[in-house]
Amino acid sequence: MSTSEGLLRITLEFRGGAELLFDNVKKHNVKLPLIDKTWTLRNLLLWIKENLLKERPELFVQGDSVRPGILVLVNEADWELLGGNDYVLKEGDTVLFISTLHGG
Amino acid sequence: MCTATDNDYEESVQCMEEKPSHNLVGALCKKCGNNKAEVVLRVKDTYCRQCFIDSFTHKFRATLGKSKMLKPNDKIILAVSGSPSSLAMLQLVKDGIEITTPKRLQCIPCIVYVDEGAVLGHTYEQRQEICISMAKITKKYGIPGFITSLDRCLDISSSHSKLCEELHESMVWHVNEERELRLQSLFAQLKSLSSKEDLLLKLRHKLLFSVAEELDCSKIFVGDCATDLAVSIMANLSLGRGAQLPYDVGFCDYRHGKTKLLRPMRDFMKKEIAFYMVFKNIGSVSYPTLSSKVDPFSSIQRLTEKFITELQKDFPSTVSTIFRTGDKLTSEGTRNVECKTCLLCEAPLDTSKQDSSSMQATEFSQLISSPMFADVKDLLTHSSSDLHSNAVSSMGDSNCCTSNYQCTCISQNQLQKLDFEQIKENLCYGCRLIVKEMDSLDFLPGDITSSVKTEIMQKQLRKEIQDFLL
Repeated sequence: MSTSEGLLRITLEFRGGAELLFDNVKKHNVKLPLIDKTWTLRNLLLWIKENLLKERPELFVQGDSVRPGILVLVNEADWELLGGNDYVLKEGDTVLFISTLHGG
Repeated sequence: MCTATDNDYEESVQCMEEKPSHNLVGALCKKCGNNKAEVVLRVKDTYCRQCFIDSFTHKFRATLGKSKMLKPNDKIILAVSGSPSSLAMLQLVKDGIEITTPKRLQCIPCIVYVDEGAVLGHTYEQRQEICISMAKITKKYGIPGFITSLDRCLDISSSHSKLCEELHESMVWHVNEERELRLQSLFAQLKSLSSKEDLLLKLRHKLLFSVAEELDCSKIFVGDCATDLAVSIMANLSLGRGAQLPYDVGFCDYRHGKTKLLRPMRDFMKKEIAFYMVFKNIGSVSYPTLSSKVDPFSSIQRLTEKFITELQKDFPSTVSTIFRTGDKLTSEGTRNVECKTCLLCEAPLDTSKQDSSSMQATEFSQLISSPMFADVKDLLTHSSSDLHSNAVSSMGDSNCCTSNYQCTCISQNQLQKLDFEQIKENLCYGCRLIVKEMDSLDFLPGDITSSVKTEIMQKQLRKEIQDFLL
Protein backbone atom coordinates (compact mmCIF):
# COMPACT_ATOMS: atom_id res chain seq x y z
CA MET A 1 0.00 0.00 0.00
CA SER A 2 2.90 2.32 0.62
CA THR A 3 4.17 1.96 -2.93
CA SER A 4 3.77 5.00 -5.10
CA GLU A 5 1.16 3.24 -7.26
CA GLY A 6 -1.16 3.00 -4.33
CA LEU A 7 -1.12 6.73 -3.72
CA LEU A 8 -2.89 9.71 -5.20
CA ARG A 9 -0.72 12.80 -5.17
CA ILE A 10 -2.50 16.13 -5.10
CA THR A 11 -1.75 19.66 -3.95
CA LEU A 12 -3.98 21.53 -1.55
CA GLU A 13 -3.82 25.29 -1.21
CA PHE A 14 -5.54 27.56 1.30
CA ARG A 15 -5.95 31.30 0.85
CA GLY A 16 -7.92 34.29 2.02
CA GLY A 17 -7.47 33.45 5.70
CA ALA A 18 -8.41 29.76 5.40
CA GLU A 19 -4.72 28.95 5.96
CA LEU A 20 -5.05 30.20 9.53
CA LEU A 21 -6.88 26.99 10.37
CA PHE A 22 -3.98 24.96 8.96
CA ASP A 23 -1.09 26.31 11.04
CA ASN A 24 -0.72 29.15 8.57
CA VAL A 25 0.63 26.78 5.91
CA LYS A 26 -0.73 27.78 2.53
CA LYS A 27 0.40 24.87 0.43
CA HIS A 28 0.21 21.19 1.29
CA ASN A 29 1.42 18.37 -0.92
CA VAL A 30 -0.54 15.34 0.15
CA LYS A 31 -0.62 11.69 -0.77
CA LEU A 32 -3.94 9.98 -0.42
CA PRO A 33 -4.03 6.20 -0.02
CA LEU A 34 -5.91 4.54 -2.86
CA ILE A 35 -7.86 1.90 -1.05
CA ASP A 36 -11.13 0.70 -2.42
CA LYS A 37 -12.85 4.06 -2.61
CA THR A 38 -12.58 6.78 -5.22
CA TRP A 39 -11.41 10.14 -4.01
CA THR A 40 -14.23 12.57 -4.62
CA LEU A 41 -14.06 16.09 -3.25
CA ARG A 42 -16.57 14.99 -0.62
CA ASN A 43 -14.20 12.31 0.63
CA LEU A 44 -11.30 14.72 0.43
CA LEU A 45 -13.09 17.18 2.71
CA LEU A 46 -13.64 14.47 5.29
CA TRP A 47 -10.00 13.50 5.01
CA ILE A 48 -8.89 17.13 5.46
CA LYS A 49 -11.14 17.47 8.48
CA GLU A 50 -9.59 14.44 10.10
CA ASN A 51 -5.97 14.74 9.06
CA LEU A 52 -5.08 18.32 8.22
CA LEU A 53 -7.36 20.69 10.12
CA LYS A 54 -5.67 21.97 13.23
CA GLU A 55 -8.54 23.74 14.95
CA ARG A 56 -12.17 24.76 14.76
CA PRO A 57 -13.40 22.39 12.02
CA GLU A 58 -16.79 24.11 12.01
CA LEU A 59 -15.13 27.17 10.47
CA PHE A 60 -14.13 25.13 7.44
CA VAL A 61 -16.50 22.22 6.95
CA GLN A 62 -20.25 22.28 7.33
CA GLY A 63 -22.16 19.05 6.79
CA ASP A 64 -20.45 17.22 3.96
CA SER A 65 -19.42 20.39 2.12
CA VAL A 66 -17.31 23.47 2.78
CA ARG A 67 -18.71 26.29 4.89
CA PRO A 68 -20.66 28.78 2.75
CA GLY A 69 -18.31 31.60 1.79
CA ILE A 70 -15.37 29.33 1.05
CA LEU A 71 -14.71 28.86 -2.66
CA VAL A 72 -13.29 25.67 -4.10
CA LEU A 73 -11.22 25.65 -7.28
CA VAL A 74 -9.79 22.56 -8.92
CA ASN A 75 -6.90 23.36 -11.23
CA GLU A 76 -7.99 27.01 -11.16
CA ALA A 77 -11.52 26.24 -12.33
CA ASP A 78 -14.75 26.64 -10.38
CA TRP A 79 -15.77 23.34 -8.82
CA GLU A 80 -19.36 23.98 -9.86
CA LEU A 81 -18.18 23.28 -13.42
CA LEU A 82 -16.79 19.94 -12.36
CA GLY A 83 -19.78 18.55 -10.52
CA GLY A 84 -19.04 20.03 -7.10
CA ASN A 85 -18.70 17.52 -4.31
CA ASP A 86 -18.90 14.56 -6.72
CA TYR A 87 -15.81 15.47 -8.74
CA VAL A 88 -13.34 12.59 -8.78
CA LEU A 89 -9.80 13.74 -8.07
CA LYS A 90 -7.04 12.85 -10.48
CA GLU A 91 -3.31 12.49 -10.00
CA GLY A 92 -1.61 15.89 -9.84
CA ASP A 93 -4.76 17.95 -9.28
CA THR A 94 -4.47 21.21 -7.37
CA VAL A 95 -7.38 21.98 -5.10
CA LEU A 96 -7.54 25.58 -3.93
CA PHE A 97 -9.73 26.73 -1.06
CA ILE A 98 -10.31 30.48 -0.81
CA SER A 99 -12.13 31.94 2.15
CA THR A 100 -14.10 35.04 1.26
CA LEU A 101 -15.25 35.51 4.83
CA HIS A 102 -14.03 38.39 6.91
CA GLY A 103 -10.97 37.32 8.83
CA GLY A 104 -10.88 33.94 7.11
CA MET B 1 -57.27 42.74 0.56
CA CYS B 2 -56.29 39.19 1.11
CA THR B 3 -57.70 36.65 -1.28
CA ALA B 4 -55.54 33.76 -0.31
CA THR B 5 -57.52 30.77 0.90
CA ASP B 6 -56.34 27.69 2.66
CA ASN B 7 -56.41 25.94 -0.65
CA ASP B 8 -54.04 28.41 -2.25
CA TYR B 9 -51.64 27.84 0.56
CA GLU B 10 -51.46 24.17 0.09
CA GLU B 11 -50.86 24.32 -3.60
CA SER B 12 -48.81 27.26 -4.69
CA VAL B 13 -47.24 29.80 -2.32
CA GLN B 14 -45.31 28.26 0.45
CA CYS B 15 -41.65 29.11 0.13
CA MET B 16 -39.22 31.05 -1.95
CA GLU B 17 -38.07 29.25 -5.02
CA GLU B 18 -35.03 27.20 -4.35
CA LYS B 19 -31.90 27.43 -6.40
CA PRO B 20 -32.45 25.46 -9.61
CA SER B 21 -29.79 22.90 -10.23
CA HIS B 22 -27.89 23.12 -13.48
CA ASN B 23 -25.61 20.58 -14.95
CA LEU B 24 -22.61 22.66 -15.83
CA VAL B 25 -20.03 19.92 -16.19
CA GLY B 26 -17.86 20.66 -19.19
CA ALA B 27 -19.83 23.81 -20.13
CA LEU B 28 -18.44 26.31 -22.62
CA CYS B 29 -18.11 30.05 -22.07
CA LYS B 30 -21.47 31.73 -22.61
CA LYS B 31 -19.88 34.85 -24.00
CA CYS B 32 -17.48 33.64 -26.64
CA GLY B 33 -18.90 30.15 -27.01
CA ASN B 34 -15.47 28.72 -27.88
CA ASN B 35 -13.47 28.19 -24.77
CA LYS B 36 -13.99 25.91 -21.86
CA ALA B 37 -15.65 27.76 -19.00
CA GLU B 38 -13.67 28.23 -15.80
CA VAL B 39 -16.01 30.17 -13.57
CA VAL B 40 -19.75 30.24 -12.89
CA LEU B 41 -21.44 33.47 -11.87
CA ARG B 42 -25.10 34.05 -10.98
CA VAL B 43 -25.81 30.30 -10.81
CA LYS B 44 -25.65 29.54 -14.52
CA ASP B 45 -23.53 32.12 -16.36
CA THR B 46 -20.34 30.43 -17.39
CA TYR B 47 -17.24 32.35 -18.42
CA CYS B 48 -13.84 31.47 -19.75
CA ARG B 49 -10.81 33.15 -18.26
CA GLN B 50 -10.43 35.92 -20.84
CA CYS B 51 -14.12 36.82 -21.10
CA PHE B 52 -14.35 36.93 -17.31
CA ILE B 53 -11.41 39.31 -16.98
CA ASP B 54 -12.77 41.51 -19.77
CA SER B 55 -16.20 41.80 -18.23
CA PHE B 56 -14.69 42.37 -14.78
CA THR B 57 -12.56 45.25 -16.07
CA HIS B 58 -15.51 46.67 -17.98
CA LYS B 59 -17.70 46.62 -14.89
CA PHE B 60 -15.12 48.57 -12.90
CA ARG B 61 -14.85 51.24 -15.58
CA ALA B 62 -18.64 51.41 -15.86
CA THR B 63 -19.05 51.93 -12.11
CA LEU B 64 -16.51 54.74 -12.10
CA GLY B 65 -17.71 56.24 -15.38
CA LYS B 66 -21.39 56.25 -14.45
CA SER B 67 -20.68 58.10 -11.25
CA LYS B 68 -19.00 60.98 -13.12
CA MET B 69 -17.06 61.65 -9.92
CA LEU B 70 -13.55 61.41 -11.28
CA LYS B 71 -12.18 64.61 -12.78
CA PRO B 72 -9.03 64.60 -14.92
CA ASN B 73 -5.86 64.69 -12.83
CA ASP B 74 -7.65 64.09 -9.57
CA LYS B 75 -5.24 62.93 -6.89
CA ILE B 76 -6.63 59.82 -5.30
CA ILE B 77 -5.69 57.59 -2.40
CA LEU B 78 -6.09 53.88 -2.88
CA ALA B 79 -6.70 52.46 0.57
CA VAL B 80 -4.94 49.11 0.29
CA SER B 81 -5.11 46.71 3.20
CA GLY B 82 -3.67 43.75 1.34
CA SER B 83 -7.09 42.09 1.05
CA PRO B 84 -8.06 40.55 -2.31
CA SER B 85 -10.59 43.31 -2.91
CA SER B 86 -8.15 46.16 -2.33
CA LEU B 87 -5.44 44.55 -4.45
CA ALA B 88 -7.88 43.87 -7.29
CA MET B 89 -8.81 47.55 -7.13
CA LEU B 90 -5.13 48.49 -7.33
CA GLN B 91 -4.65 46.26 -10.38
CA LEU B 92 -7.72 47.74 -12.09
CA VAL B 93 -6.61 51.32 -11.45
CA LYS B 94 -3.12 50.51 -12.68
CA ASP B 95 -4.52 48.91 -15.85
CA GLY B 96 -6.84 51.88 -16.23
CA ILE B 97 -4.14 54.54 -16.17
CA GLU B 98 -1.81 52.58 -18.43
CA ILE B 99 -3.99 51.98 -21.46
CA THR B 100 -3.54 54.39 -24.32
CA THR B 101 -7.08 54.57 -25.65
CA PRO B 102 -9.29 57.56 -24.77
CA LYS B 103 -10.86 55.41 -22.08
CA ARG B 104 -7.74 55.91 -19.98
CA LEU B 105 -8.39 56.68 -16.31
CA GLN B 106 -7.09 60.16 -15.75
CA CYS B 107 -6.06 60.27 -12.17
CA ILE B 108 -2.92 60.34 -10.07
CA PRO B 109 -3.11 57.49 -7.55
CA CYS B 110 -1.09 56.76 -4.46
CA ILE B 111 -1.37 53.81 -2.13
CA VAL B 112 -2.01 54.20 1.58
CA TYR B 113 -1.70 51.27 3.94
CA VAL B 114 -3.00 51.64 7.48
CA ASP B 115 -1.08 49.55 10.00
CA GLU B 116 -3.62 48.28 12.51
CA GLY B 117 -1.30 45.73 14.09
CA ALA B 118 -1.59 47.23 17.55
CA VAL B 119 -5.31 46.55 17.64
CA LEU B 120 -5.23 43.28 15.73
CA GLY B 121 -2.64 41.87 18.12
CA HIS B 122 0.20 41.35 15.65
CA THR B 123 3.77 40.97 16.81
CA TYR B 124 6.31 43.57 15.78
CA GLU B 125 7.95 41.08 13.39
CA GLN B 126 4.60 40.37 11.76
CA ARG B 127 3.96 44.05 11.24
CA GLN B 128 7.40 44.65 9.81
CA GLU B 129 6.84 41.74 7.42
CA ILE B 130 3.46 43.06 6.26
CA CYS B 131 5.00 46.48 5.85
CA ILE B 132 7.72 45.07 3.56
CA SER B 133 5.13 43.12 1.54
CA MET B 134 3.21 46.34 1.02
CA ALA B 135 6.40 48.10 -0.04
CA LYS B 136 7.04 45.36 -2.59
CA ILE B 137 3.53 45.78 -3.95
CA THR B 138 3.92 49.53 -4.40
CA LYS B 139 7.23 48.94 -6.15
CA LYS B 140 5.72 46.32 -8.45
CA TYR B 141 2.94 48.66 -9.50
CA GLY B 142 5.14 51.75 -9.69
CA ILE B 143 2.66 53.79 -7.68
CA PRO B 144 3.93 55.80 -4.71
CA GLY B 145 2.99 54.13 -1.43
CA PHE B 146 2.58 55.45 2.08
CA ILE B 147 2.14 53.80 5.42
CA THR B 148 0.39 55.16 8.45
CA SER B 149 -0.64 53.56 11.69
CA LEU B 150 -3.99 53.62 13.40
CA ASP B 151 -2.64 55.12 16.62
CA ARG B 152 -1.92 58.36 14.77
CA CYS B 153 -5.63 59.08 14.62
CA LEU B 154 -5.45 59.77 18.36
CA ASP B 155 -3.46 62.97 17.94
CA ILE B 156 -4.51 64.26 14.56
CA SER B 157 -4.87 67.92 15.37
CA SER B 158 -2.14 68.27 17.95
CA SER B 159 0.70 66.44 16.28
CA HIS B 160 2.95 68.39 14.01
CA SER B 161 4.66 65.31 12.73
CA LYS B 162 3.55 63.79 9.48
CA LEU B 163 0.73 61.29 9.51
CA CYS B 164 2.24 58.97 6.96
CA GLU B 165 5.61 57.87 5.69
CA GLU B 166 6.72 56.70 2.30
CA LEU B 167 6.96 52.93 1.87
CA HIS B 168 10.21 51.43 0.69
CA GLU B 169 11.56 47.94 0.80
CA SER B 170 14.41 48.54 3.19
CA MET B 171 12.35 50.49 5.68
CA VAL B 172 12.22 49.75 9.37
CA TRP B 173 8.80 50.42 10.75
CA HIS B 174 8.81 52.44 13.95
CA VAL B 175 5.94 52.38 16.34
CA ASN B 176 5.11 55.03 18.87
CA GLU B 177 4.69 52.91 21.97
CA GLU B 178 3.07 55.52 24.15
CA ARG B 179 0.33 56.25 21.62
CA GLU B 180 -0.11 52.62 20.79
CA LEU B 181 -0.70 51.82 24.43
CA ARG B 182 -3.41 54.46 24.48
CA LEU B 183 -5.00 52.92 21.40
CA GLN B 184 -4.90 49.48 22.94
CA SER B 185 -6.43 50.79 26.17
CA LEU B 186 -9.18 52.41 24.13
CA PHE B 187 -10.05 49.09 22.52
CA ALA B 188 -9.54 47.07 25.68
CA GLN B 189 -12.33 49.02 27.33
CA LEU B 190 -14.86 47.89 24.79
CA LYS B 191 -16.68 44.82 25.95
CA SER B 192 -18.17 43.61 22.70
CA LEU B 193 -16.48 42.63 19.48
CA SER B 194 -19.26 44.43 17.59
CA SER B 195 -18.17 47.75 19.06
CA LYS B 196 -14.50 46.99 18.49
CA GLU B 197 -15.06 46.30 14.81
CA ASP B 198 -17.26 49.35 14.48
CA LEU B 199 -14.77 51.63 16.23
CA LEU B 200 -11.89 50.25 14.16
CA LEU B 201 -13.74 51.12 10.97
CA LYS B 202 -14.61 54.62 12.16
CA LEU B 203 -11.06 55.37 13.31
CA ARG B 204 -9.62 53.99 10.07
CA HIS B 205 -11.84 56.27 8.02
CA LYS B 206 -11.06 59.23 10.26
CA LEU B 207 -7.36 58.65 9.74
CA LEU B 208 -7.72 58.15 5.98
CA PHE B 209 -9.48 61.48 5.61
CA SER B 210 -6.70 63.24 7.53
CA VAL B 211 -4.05 61.49 5.46
CA ALA B 212 -5.90 62.57 2.31
CA GLU B 213 -5.66 66.14 3.50
CA GLU B 214 -1.96 65.79 4.20
CA LEU B 215 -1.28 64.26 0.79
CA ASP B 216 -3.57 66.78 -0.87
CA CYS B 217 -5.83 64.12 -2.36
CA SER B 218 -9.49 64.79 -3.07
CA LYS B 219 -10.72 61.20 -3.31
CA ILE B 220 -10.19 58.01 -1.36
CA PHE B 221 -10.90 54.67 -3.01
CA VAL B 222 -11.79 51.82 -0.69
CA GLY B 223 -12.25 48.20 -1.68
CA ASP B 224 -15.71 47.49 -0.21
CA CYS B 225 -17.45 45.01 -2.50
CA ALA B 226 -21.14 44.12 -2.89
CA THR B 227 -20.96 41.23 -0.45
CA ASP B 228 -19.29 43.44 2.18
CA LEU B 229 -21.85 46.17 1.65
CA ALA B 230 -24.83 43.82 1.90
CA VAL B 231 -23.46 42.67 5.25
CA SER B 232 -22.83 46.28 6.28
CA ILE B 233 -26.38 47.31 5.42
CA MET B 234 -27.91 44.67 7.66
CA ALA B 235 -25.29 44.97 10.40
CA ASN B 236 -25.39 48.77 10.51
CA LEU B 237 -29.14 48.72 10.94
CA SER B 238 -28.65 46.48 13.94
CA LEU B 239 -25.86 48.69 15.28
CA GLY B 240 -28.11 51.74 15.31
CA ARG B 241 -26.54 53.33 12.27
CA GLY B 242 -29.57 53.23 10.01
CA ALA B 243 -29.60 56.98 9.57
CA GLN B 244 -26.11 56.92 8.12
CA LEU B 245 -26.62 54.12 5.62
CA PRO B 246 -26.33 56.35 2.53
CA TYR B 247 -22.86 57.37 3.71
CA ASP B 248 -21.73 54.01 4.92
CA VAL B 249 -22.72 51.92 1.93
CA GLY B 250 -23.33 54.31 -0.98
CA PHE B 251 -20.92 54.77 -3.87
CA CYS B 252 -19.79 58.12 -2.57
CA ASP B 253 -19.37 59.05 1.06
CA TYR B 254 -19.54 62.83 0.99
CA ARG B 255 -19.86 63.49 4.71
CA HIS B 256 -16.49 65.25 4.80
CA GLY B 257 -17.34 67.76 2.14
CA LYS B 258 -14.15 68.36 0.22
CA THR B 259 -12.64 64.90 0.43
CA LYS B 260 -14.82 62.09 -0.81
CA LEU B 261 -14.62 58.41 -0.12
CA LEU B 262 -15.59 56.28 -3.12
CA ARG B 263 -16.37 52.58 -3.38
CA PRO B 264 -15.53 51.60 -6.94
CA MET B 265 -15.57 47.86 -6.15
CA ARG B 266 -19.16 47.92 -4.98
CA ASP B 267 -20.58 46.04 -7.95
CA PHE B 268 -18.41 42.97 -7.48
CA MET B 269 -19.23 39.90 -5.49
CA LYS B 270 -16.54 38.34 -3.31
CA LYS B 271 -16.50 35.35 -5.63
CA GLU B 272 -15.74 37.47 -8.68
CA ILE B 273 -12.86 39.15 -6.88
CA ALA B 274 -11.42 35.83 -5.73
CA PHE B 275 -11.43 34.46 -9.28
CA TYR B 276 -9.97 37.67 -10.68
CA MET B 277 -7.08 37.32 -8.25
CA VAL B 278 -6.51 33.70 -9.26
CA PHE B 279 -6.73 34.36 -13.01
CA LYS B 280 -4.47 37.39 -12.80
CA ASN B 281 -2.14 35.53 -10.45
CA ILE B 282 -2.14 38.21 -7.78
CA GLY B 283 -1.37 37.03 -4.28
CA SER B 284 -3.03 38.82 -1.42
CA VAL B 285 -1.36 39.79 1.85
CA SER B 286 -3.37 38.05 4.52
CA TYR B 287 -3.04 38.43 8.24
CA PRO B 288 -5.26 37.69 11.21
CA THR B 289 -7.90 40.31 11.94
CA LEU B 290 -10.22 40.94 14.88
CA SER B 291 -12.61 38.34 13.56
CA SER B 292 -10.15 35.60 12.63
CA LYS B 293 -10.98 32.20 14.03
CA VAL B 294 -13.77 33.58 16.18
CA ASP B 295 -17.18 32.12 16.62
CA PRO B 296 -19.69 33.47 14.06
CA PHE B 297 -21.86 34.52 16.99
CA SER B 298 -19.22 36.75 18.56
CA SER B 299 -20.25 39.99 16.89
CA ILE B 300 -23.23 41.47 15.10
CA GLN B 301 -21.15 41.93 11.96
CA ARG B 302 -19.95 38.31 11.87
CA LEU B 303 -23.38 36.91 12.61
CA THR B 304 -24.86 39.01 9.81
CA GLU B 305 -22.14 37.78 7.48
CA LYS B 306 -22.90 34.19 8.40
CA PHE B 307 -26.61 34.76 7.87
CA ILE B 308 -26.15 36.36 4.47
CA THR B 309 -23.55 33.93 3.08
CA GLU B 310 -25.62 30.97 4.17
CA LEU B 311 -28.75 32.42 2.62
CA GLN B 312 -26.81 33.32 -0.50
CA LYS B 313 -25.82 29.71 -0.95
CA ASP B 314 -29.39 28.58 -1.51
CA PHE B 315 -30.85 31.85 -2.79
CA PRO B 316 -28.23 33.42 -5.04
CA SER B 317 -29.98 36.76 -5.38
CA THR B 318 -29.77 37.53 -1.63
CA VAL B 319 -26.77 39.84 -1.78
CA SER B 320 -27.94 41.80 -4.79
CA THR B 321 -31.44 42.21 -3.35
CA ILE B 322 -30.12 43.61 -0.07
CA PHE B 323 -27.56 45.71 -1.86
CA ARG B 324 -30.02 47.26 -4.33
CA THR B 325 -32.57 47.91 -1.62
CA GLY B 326 -29.98 49.56 0.60
CA ASP B 327 -28.92 51.72 -2.31
CA LYS B 328 -32.36 53.29 -2.52
CA LEU B 329 -32.50 54.34 1.11
CA THR B 330 -32.00 57.96 2.00
CA SER B 331 -32.34 59.57 5.37
CA GLU B 332 -33.53 62.85 6.75
CA GLY B 333 -30.03 63.81 7.78
CA THR B 334 -28.54 63.49 4.33
CA ARG B 335 -30.60 66.31 3.00
CA ASN B 336 -29.98 68.73 5.80
CA VAL B 337 -26.64 70.41 5.21
CA GLU B 338 -26.63 72.60 8.31
CA CYS B 339 -26.97 69.66 10.68
CA LYS B 340 -24.40 69.19 13.44
CA THR B 341 -22.11 66.23 12.87
CA CYS B 342 -20.90 63.42 15.10
CA LEU B 343 -17.39 63.98 16.40
CA LEU B 344 -16.35 60.39 15.91
CA CYS B 345 -17.83 59.32 12.59
CA GLU B 346 -18.65 62.80 11.26
CA ALA B 347 -22.08 61.80 10.03
CA PRO B 348 -24.95 64.23 10.68
CA LEU B 349 -26.33 63.74 14.16
CA ASP B 350 -29.39 61.53 14.21
CA THR B 351 -30.20 62.21 17.82
CA SER B 352 -32.60 65.14 17.69
CA LYS B 353 -35.38 64.09 19.98
CA GLN B 354 -38.88 64.21 18.70
CA ASP B 355 -41.86 63.26 20.77
CA SER B 356 -42.52 59.54 20.83
CA SER B 357 -39.42 58.70 18.82
CA SER B 358 -37.70 55.39 19.44
CA MET B 359 -34.67 57.36 20.59
CA GLN B 360 -36.75 58.95 23.31
CA ALA B 361 -38.20 55.62 24.34
CA THR B 362 -34.74 54.05 24.58
CA GLU B 363 -33.44 56.90 26.70
CA PHE B 364 -36.43 56.73 28.97
CA SER B 365 -36.02 53.05 29.56
CA GLN B 366 -32.32 53.59 30.27
CA LEU B 367 -33.14 56.36 32.69
CA ILE B 368 -35.62 54.40 34.72
CA SER B 369 -33.36 51.41 34.91
CA SER B 370 -30.28 53.34 36.04
CA PRO B 371 -29.14 53.06 39.69
CA MET B 372 -30.12 56.66 40.33
CA PHE B 373 -33.66 55.56 40.10
CA ALA B 374 -33.27 52.79 42.62
CA ASP B 375 -35.90 54.36 44.86
CA VAL B 376 -38.33 54.48 42.03
CA LYS B 377 -37.57 50.85 41.31
CA ASP B 378 -38.78 49.85 44.75
CA LEU B 379 -42.01 51.56 44.10
CA LEU B 380 -42.61 49.66 40.93
CA THR B 381 -45.40 47.20 41.21
CA HIS B 382 -44.89 43.53 40.88
CA SER B 383 -46.32 43.30 37.40
CA SER B 384 -44.02 45.86 35.86
CA SER B 385 -40.87 44.54 37.51
CA ASP B 386 -40.51 41.93 34.78
CA LEU B 387 -40.48 44.59 32.17
CA HIS B 388 -38.03 46.55 34.18
CA SER B 389 -35.57 43.71 34.63
CA ASN B 390 -35.61 43.22 30.89
CA ALA B 391 -34.63 46.80 30.42
CA VAL B 392 -31.76 46.43 32.85
CA SER B 393 -30.41 43.31 31.24
CA SER B 394 -30.55 44.86 27.78
CA MET B 395 -28.48 47.73 29.02
CA GLY B 396 -25.65 45.47 29.98
CA ASP B 397 -22.81 47.18 31.75
CA SER B 398 -23.85 50.74 31.23
CA ASN B 399 -24.80 51.06 34.85
CA CYS B 400 -21.23 51.57 35.90
CA CYS B 401 -20.85 54.36 33.36
CA THR B 402 -23.72 56.20 34.91
CA SER B 403 -22.34 55.89 38.40
CA ASN B 404 -18.92 56.94 37.17
CA TYR B 405 -20.41 59.95 35.56
CA GLN B 406 -21.99 60.99 38.80
CA CYS B 407 -18.77 61.08 40.72
CA THR B 408 -16.49 62.59 38.12
CA CYS B 409 -18.66 65.49 37.10
CA ILE B 410 -19.33 66.77 40.54
CA SER B 411 -15.87 66.52 41.99
CA GLN B 412 -13.72 67.60 39.09
CA ASN B 413 -13.24 70.73 37.15
CA GLN B 414 -15.48 70.47 34.13
CA LEU B 415 -12.90 71.55 31.63
CA GLN B 416 -10.23 69.27 32.95
CA LYS B 417 -12.32 66.19 32.85
CA LEU B 418 -15.19 65.59 30.51
CA ASP B 419 -18.09 63.48 31.52
CA PHE B 420 -20.06 61.06 29.45
CA GLU B 421 -23.05 63.37 29.04
CA GLN B 422 -20.94 66.11 27.51
CA ILE B 423 -19.34 63.75 25.02
CA LYS B 424 -22.61 62.02 24.27
CA GLU B 425 -24.21 65.27 23.18
CA ASN B 426 -21.81 65.38 20.28
CA LEU B 427 -22.09 61.80 19.10
CA CYS B 428 -24.55 60.05 16.85
CA TYR B 429 -26.61 57.16 18.20
CA GLY B 430 -24.27 54.47 16.85
CA CYS B 431 -21.16 56.11 18.30
CA ARG B 432 -22.89 56.64 21.65
CA LEU B 433 -23.33 52.90 21.88
CA ILE B 434 -19.57 52.46 21.45
CA VAL B 435 -18.68 55.12 24.02
CA LYS B 436 -21.22 53.68 26.44
CA GLU B 437 -19.05 50.59 26.78
CA MET B 438 -16.06 52.63 27.91
CA ASP B 439 -15.14 53.09 31.54
CA SER B 440 -12.99 56.11 30.91
CA LEU B 441 -12.88 58.79 28.27
CA ASP B 442 -9.16 59.41 28.64
CA PHE B 443 -8.19 57.40 25.60
CA LEU B 444 -10.54 58.98 23.06
CA PRO B 445 -8.88 60.72 20.11
CA GLY B 446 -7.55 64.09 21.21
CA ASP B 447 -9.45 66.11 18.65
CA ILE B 448 -12.78 64.82 19.97
CA THR B 449 -12.14 65.82 23.55
CA SER B 450 -10.64 69.16 22.59
CA SER B 451 -13.56 70.15 20.41
CA VAL B 452 -16.02 69.21 23.13
CA LYS B 453 -14.05 71.37 25.56
CA THR B 454 -14.02 74.28 23.16
CA GLU B 455 -17.73 73.99 22.74
CA ILE B 456 -18.35 73.95 26.47
CA MET B 457 -16.09 76.93 26.92
CA GLN B 458 -17.93 78.87 24.26
CA LYS B 459 -21.24 78.02 25.84
CA GLN B 460 -20.01 79.21 29.23
CA LEU B 461 -18.65 82.38 27.78
CA ARG B 462 -21.92 83.07 26.04
CA LYS B 463 -23.76 82.53 29.29
CA GLU B 464 -21.49 84.91 31.14
CA ILE B 465 -21.80 87.75 28.69
CA GLN B 466 -25.46 87.17 28.04
CA ASP B 467 -26.57 89.89 30.44
CA PHE B 468 -24.34 92.44 28.81
CA LEU B 469 -25.61 91.84 25.33
CA LEU B 470 -28.09 94.24 23.90
